[in-house]
Parts: sequence; structure tokens; C-alpha cells
Amino acid sequence: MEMVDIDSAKEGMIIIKEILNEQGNVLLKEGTALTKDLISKLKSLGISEVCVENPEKNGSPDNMSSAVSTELKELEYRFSNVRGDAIMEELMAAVKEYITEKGSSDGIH
Amino acid sequence: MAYINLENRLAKITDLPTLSTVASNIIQITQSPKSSALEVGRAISQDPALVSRILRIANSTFYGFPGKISTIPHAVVILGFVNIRNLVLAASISRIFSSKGGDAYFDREGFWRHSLACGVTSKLIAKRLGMKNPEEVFIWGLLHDVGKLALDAYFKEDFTRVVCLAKEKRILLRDAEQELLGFDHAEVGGIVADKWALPPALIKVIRFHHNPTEANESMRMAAIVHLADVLCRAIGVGDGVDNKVPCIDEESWRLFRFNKQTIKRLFSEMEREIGNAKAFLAFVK
Repeated sequence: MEMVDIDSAKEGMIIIKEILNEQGNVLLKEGTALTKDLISKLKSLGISEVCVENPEKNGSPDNMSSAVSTELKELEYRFSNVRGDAIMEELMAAVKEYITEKGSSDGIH
Repeated sequence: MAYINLENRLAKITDLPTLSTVASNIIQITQSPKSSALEVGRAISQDPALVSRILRIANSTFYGFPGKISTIPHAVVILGFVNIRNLVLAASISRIFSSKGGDAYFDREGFWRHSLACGVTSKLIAKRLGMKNPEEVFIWGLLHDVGKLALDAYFKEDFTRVVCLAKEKRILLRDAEQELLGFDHAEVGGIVADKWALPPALIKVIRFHHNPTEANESMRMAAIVHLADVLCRAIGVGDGVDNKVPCIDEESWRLFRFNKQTIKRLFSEMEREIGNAKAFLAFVK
């Protein structure tokens, strides 16, 4: 976990502390993967830093669309407290396959 | 740590509202096989605000009869007793809590989005299991977390501390509740549902949706909602407080023996049905 300056924030980083506006409303909930659009939006709203998970763990395989890679990173975050449990690993594998297959069929149309 | 004695605290909440008379009547009427659509219609007509809400949702895409239902008796016939009872219960409970609670700490819309997704998913699981009345199961999922609304409305200060702890430590809300209060929203929900005299099976589902094996004769029902809760969180429809997937109860998982293909098919159905259920979100908000 690390606070990073918004200018150093990169696509794919996972937000681990929700980002609120001045009124206390949630702009981004924890577990959201940053995208280029989101980073620009946060900058335009005056957000100067964000709390992210393992900032060095960034990037995705070249053959994967960025939307799918974002969804998979968010999935890893949601399951992070139950890793190692056999049933949960099975369930997580099913979600992973579902996201990946959906992503590739979305790409065809 | 001095935990709050839940039963004592709840007993002291003198203004914890009861269900509306119409809702209580409808629960009674729809439980009897001898009741007629006319009786159900008459009971609902006692509450004009409820009539217009029900007609609006009955004519939405959620039920698949857009613009075709113009009267309550017609709605009762087309949608059936179970759907009508679900609507009346959901309307009454959402009305009870509409003026209390809900702020930056507790995202009420996120709460209902998750509840609705659990209702839809419970129904899909029931269909897959070949249960004869999957509509009945929808309300189990929709109301399983009602204890959170009660905590937010009547234990505001404690609940705010709980929500902050869950967010700070990135843990499940129920774990934060246990840590700070010594009980969780399922227990609170069970007590509230009992006070409202909801159907006994529904009370058990609300009380035991985290640990279905303790629901005894209602285990299968509680397990359906438990699984629905985990599946919704797995695809990212969390409850608006934590965004984590809880461990699934092993016995519940074994009960259904869903393989990977079935789970993937369920995800696909869930996404479609949750998308169709937006009208219901407006109904309970």
C-alpha cells in the first residue's frame, strides 16, 4: 500500500482507499482499477494523490484488452482475503474465465 | 471490550417502526391458499401511495408487461400473490428506513443495488435447482441484509465506527461488526424480522445467511442466499461498504454441486437480469 502522486499514478493500479470529494461523496470505491480516463478525471477534480496497492505491480500481458485486464485486477483485489481456500480458488478461476471469455467475444462484435 | 447487549439495546428502541398494516395484512392473506385476488386487491387499495408505486413497477420492464396493467386486481392476477407480497414487503420496509440513516458512511444506493442483485441471483439459483416457486426466493435475497438498515438507522454512532473500521482495515463489514459490537447485521436482521412477524423461513434466511448450516430445516434456503451473496460480490456487486468476497460455507457449496460451467452460465444470466432490474431499484430507493 502506498500513497502516490496523481502524476505518478498509472493505468491498472488498484485504489485501496476510496476517494471522496469535498462533500464526502465517494468518487471511486476501493478495489477500482485506474484507467487513463479516471486519472484525468481525478486530476480535473483536484485530487492530488491516491492510495494504491503495490504500485510496482503494474502492466498486463500484451495480448489482453485493457478493459479485461482492469476487470481481472479488480477481481484479484476482491478475492485477496480468501486466497488459498480451495473452493474460493475454484470460484475465482470461474470468474476469471468468465471475464476473459466475455472480453474476447465482446472484441469480435 | 464492553460489547453492546443487542437484545437489550433493540428492546429500548421504542420507535423501531412496525410494518405497515397493509403489509402485515398482505402477509397474512397471501399465506392462506383460500385467499382470493380480490381480497389481496382490497387490502392494497387501503394505501393509495402503495397502489401507484405497485402499478408503476408492475408496468416496468422488470416484470415484462410494460404499460399493460392498469388496476391493482389486474396486477394481482398477472403478477401472482408471491410477486405482489414481495412488492408490498419491499415497499413497506424501504419506506420505514427512507427517512432515517444513509450518508457518506453508508451508501444506501449501493446497499439496495447489492440487495437487489442478491434477490435476482437467488431467484436464478432457485430456477436452476428446479424449485417450483423461484419468485418466492427473490425476496429472501432482497431482504437478507435488512439488519444493516436497522443498524444504520438506530445504532448510527456505533455503525459509523464499524463502517470506518471495515474501510480502514479493508475487511468485511460483518467482521468489523463482530470486532466492535460483538454481533453482526444478520443477528440484528433476524430480531427485526421476528418483530415484524415476517414469514418464519424468511426470518431464518436473514438470520443465517452467513452460516446456513445453523438454519436447520431452512438450511437450503439460507444456503441459496449465501451463495447468491458470494456470487454477487465475486462479480463486483458489493454492498457499498466493503468490496471483498467472503469465504463460502463449504457445506452450502457442496449442497448444490455447481461446476465451473454452471457458475459461468449463472454469471451471464446474473448480468442480464441485474441489468433488467433497474426499475426495481427506483421502487425501493
